[in-house]
Parts: sequence; structure tokens; C-alpha cells
Amino acid sequence: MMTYGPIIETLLAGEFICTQRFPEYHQQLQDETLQNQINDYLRPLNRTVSQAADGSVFFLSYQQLDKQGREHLRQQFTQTLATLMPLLEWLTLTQEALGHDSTLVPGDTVKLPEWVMACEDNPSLKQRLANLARDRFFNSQAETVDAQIKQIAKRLVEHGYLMQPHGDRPYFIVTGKVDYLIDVIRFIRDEENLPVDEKPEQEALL
Amino acid sequence: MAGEQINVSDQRIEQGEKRLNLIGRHAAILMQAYQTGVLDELSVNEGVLRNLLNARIIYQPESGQGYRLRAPVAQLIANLVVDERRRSIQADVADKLEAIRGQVDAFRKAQQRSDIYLAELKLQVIEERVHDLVAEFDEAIHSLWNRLNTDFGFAANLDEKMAENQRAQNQIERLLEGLSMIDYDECIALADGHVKLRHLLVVQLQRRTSLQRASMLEIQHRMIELMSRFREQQSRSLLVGNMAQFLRQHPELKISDYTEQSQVPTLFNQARAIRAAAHVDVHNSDAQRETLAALHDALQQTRHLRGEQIPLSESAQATEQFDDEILETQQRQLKQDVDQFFINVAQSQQAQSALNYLTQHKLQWHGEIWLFQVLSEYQTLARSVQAQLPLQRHERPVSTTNNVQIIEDLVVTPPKRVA
Repeated sequence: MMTYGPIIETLLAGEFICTQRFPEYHQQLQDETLQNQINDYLRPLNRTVSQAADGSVFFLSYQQLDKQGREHLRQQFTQTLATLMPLLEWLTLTQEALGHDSTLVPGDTVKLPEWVMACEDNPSLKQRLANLARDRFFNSQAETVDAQIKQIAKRLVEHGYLMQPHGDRPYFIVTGKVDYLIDVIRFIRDEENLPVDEKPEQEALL
Repeated sequence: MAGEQINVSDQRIEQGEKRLNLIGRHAAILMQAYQTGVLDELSVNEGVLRNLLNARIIYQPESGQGYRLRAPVAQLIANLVVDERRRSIQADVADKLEAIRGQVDAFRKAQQRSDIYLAELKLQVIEERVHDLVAEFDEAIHSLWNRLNTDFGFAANLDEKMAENQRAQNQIERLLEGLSMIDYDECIALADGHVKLRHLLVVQLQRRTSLQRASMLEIQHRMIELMSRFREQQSRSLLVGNMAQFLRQHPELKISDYTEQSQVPTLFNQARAIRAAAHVDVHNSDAQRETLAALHDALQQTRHLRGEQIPLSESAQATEQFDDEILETQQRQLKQDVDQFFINVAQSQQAQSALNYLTQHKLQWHGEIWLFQVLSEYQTLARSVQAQLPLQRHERPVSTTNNVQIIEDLVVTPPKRVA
């Protein structure tokens, strides 16, 4: 009877459900009735379906916060803060290296050879890449650009920001979790009143 | 290789120079054509005409008609002389409509005077004008689609793309305004009582322009969508860039811990993963044994129906490798349920509907899938068994006009038993 079993499994495993990684589930979760059904099922587990970035991603939250839950969230938050800088740097670096108009958005393709080539050819990018790869989050001791980029991609897949459709091909798809990251950045900016602008100077609009 | 490239670009430069010279040499007649809309053929010799045609400066819309300036050339002149009237499309449309009115008037007068030759000529001119009017919009629409479909790929960066998009949107607005200047009531009045005029002004003009309007509205819609995507991309890039810069400049920044708030923001409330999720446990060897036994029984029971001597059916063999994929388990369950259905029918005394069986036994399968499986399982049965278990399809055509038959239900009748 439970046609939504696989969705629950995926959510319980701590995954972010977005159109890139789980198109079918993401589609099904648009249905509020189904969300309610899933929430009913999850209630005894103290979980509930949450969404971020205008429904771009779904994930599970605690319904009631107990001491353990709060401790888990605290650790997670510390981690999120620690990953913020390397992730931001990753986004700006790829934008520059790949010559994109904007930072990566869900659905964009990142081809490693292209990325490697761009960094090999440009000493400044190469240096920035080396710094980024050495960051605790990516934790690469590699000397070559190729190995550094591979390690970065690997970690990003582990954390759900990238997915690799074919294990043997060096190209990656950006997932909806990047939207979540942008949401987090906006939230922190607003909460902390940081003077970080996202509106262009007026002239460009007119 | 490189030499060839230089040659090609050399050639292009040479050709460009020649053609620009051509424009200069015939500036007077080209300006005359710009002013009146048609090139005065009598004032140039055939060679010049051919050169201008080859250089893509003028064209002949249809053979037998006058030569005109190509749109880019006309636009170039409009830009050079800052001819605002020509540059704005409304004025252009107004112009053309005015010309059509004038020509219709002249046509009527010629008809009244029974000057058939002149009337015919005027009619041709009207046809041309209508064609021009429509063609201009067509050209603009084509170019707009082109820009849209390439995502403004020709623009170097996001800012330029946004500027181009804005420009295109302004153009659409002008085009729509231009279109709205065509008054269909007036066209009907103008065409009054004349078949050919009616065809031109009402049927042709109206049909084409209403298609064009729809097309333009669609383009407008997509342009706005694309623009908001551009804006989103732009603000995202700025946000990421500025935030990275800010954090780099303020490494000591203390961000408050939102998880200490009584209501933790959803963004930061991400529950710990529970790995031991509830699902069909195909690794459970007890359950597996049970499943296998049940399956084996079912197959044993159906073997006489199949009339086959194969010791193990495919599904039984497959169970030996028992892949832990839920899909396969479901597939097998479906097969088993269908087998059970046939057994049930064979043992009962009356015909049974497959769908009724589905609901009576509270099976979870979707009706369509169930029927499909029943049908395909039935086809695997031996002919002699099929003869004993006649299967009847309840079908209906899709509609009165479409004779494709949809199977609504399947009814299987048990073998007649001798009491």
C-alpha cells in the first residue's frame, strides 16, 4: 500500500530531496496531502518534512526539540559555519574558472577536465585552488591540480552539492542543495545585518 | 591553415569595402528608394541593379515588382539621419496603413471610372503593401525568437544579456503597439463588397496579424521569465561574491548560534539520519524461505495449467539469485498474484472478472497494471489450457471517432467440470 516508502527511506537517511537527485520524489512531495501522510507516519519518529529555497529542497527536521536533538543541531550548525567559507570560495572559483555568467545553479554541469584546464593555465586560479583544496573541509594534500579538483568534487558529492550521473565519467551536476546554501547565506546576512549587497548598482537596471 | 584564415578574412575585408563603396556610389538612388519605398529602376542600368542585388543592398520581394532596400540598409540610413519617424515601428505601421488607405481610395476611383487597367495596378500595389506590413512584423518576430532561443548567447556577460533583454522587451512593446494600430473594423469597411480586397485586408491581414500578436505575447512572456532568471542569477552571484569577500575581510566575525533559539529556524533544523529505515527486508532469510515456499506452492499448483514440463519456471530460478531490489520483489509478487487468480478461477465454478478479483482480495496493484499482467500471463499458458480457460475482453472504443479499443476488464471462465 505504501507507495511513498522509498521517499521516507530517502528522507530518513538524511538526504536532501531535489529535482536533480530525486526527480520523482521531488515531484511527489509537491503534493501537500502526501506530505501530510508522510508527516503522520514520521510523527512517532519525531520527524517532519521541511523545505527550503522555495521548495527547491525537502529534508527532515525534528518535530520537537529535546536535549539530544538540540545538541545534534548545535554540532551541525558549527559544521555549517565551518563549511561556509570553502563553499563560497568553491562557487566563486568555478564561476571564474569556467567563465560562467553567474555562480553555479542547480542543474548546471561541471566538467572536471574543463575546470582542470582553466586552473592549470592561470597561476592565480591555480593558487586559489591549492588554498581551497587544503581547507579542512576538502582536506587534500595533493600537489597536482587534477588531484585537488578530484578531491574537491568527491567531497562535494559526499555532501550532496554535486552528483555524478555516471561513475566513470568526469562530469558532475549541481544539485538543489546549492539553493539551500544560498538560503543559509541570505539568512545569516539578514540575521547578522551584514553589509553584503546582492542588488546591482542602479544603472544596470535602467 | 593560418594562412588560409588570413586569406578568408582578407577576402571579407575586400568584399566589405567594395560593397560600402557601392552604397556610396549610388547614394542618390538609394536615398530616393529610402524616401519613396521603391527603387526607381529607370534611373539605373541593369548592371548596377545586379550589383546592388548581389551585394544584398536591395531585393525584389516578388518578381515583377519594384526593388526595395533591405531592412538593415534602411535601418542604417534611419540611424545615420536620426530618422526617429522611421525608427519607431508605430510610425512605420501608420505610414503603411495610410498608404493602403490611399491606394484603396485610388482603386475605388479607378473602378468607378471603369479604368480596369489602373484598378488592377492599384490592387497589386495594395497587395504589396499588405505583404510588406505583415513581413516586417514577421521579420521582427523571427529575430526575437532567435535571440530568445539562444539565451542572448551573443552577449558577452550577464549585464549585457539583461540590457539586450530589456531592449527586446521594449521592441515587443513597440511592435504590439504597432499591431494594435491595425483597425479591423476599418479594414472590413475598406474591403466592402470586393472579393479580392476582402481577401487581402480581412482574411490575410487579420489572420496573419492575430497569429503574430499571439506569437509576440508568447515571446514577451518568455522574455520576462528569462529576465527574472537573469536577475536571480545576478543577485546570486553578487551575494556569493560579496559574502565571500566580507567573510575574508572579517575572519573574526562571530555569528550567533541560531540553534539556541527557542524556535530553531527550519534551515538549521536538519534531523539526524536514521539508517535503519523501514522497508521490505529481503535479507531476512526466514521471510525469504517463506516467500520461496509460497511461490513454489503457487507454481506447483499452476503447473498442470501450463501443461509444461519445465521443472522450475523463470521466476523460481530468478529467486535463487534473489536480488535485493524491491522492484523485482514487487514484480514477482504481481506474477504470483496473477497465478493465484488463475488458480482461483480454475477451481471455482463461475467466471470471474479480473478487476473484481483485484478489489475482493484487496490487492494493491493498479488496475491497469493488473489487467496487463493477467493478459500477459494468460498468453504464456499453453494453447490447450487457454482453450479450457476462455478469456474474454471487455472492450470499448476510445471514442466514436477513434476505434482504438480500450480493455476495461478481463473475464476468465473456468473449465466445465463433469459433476
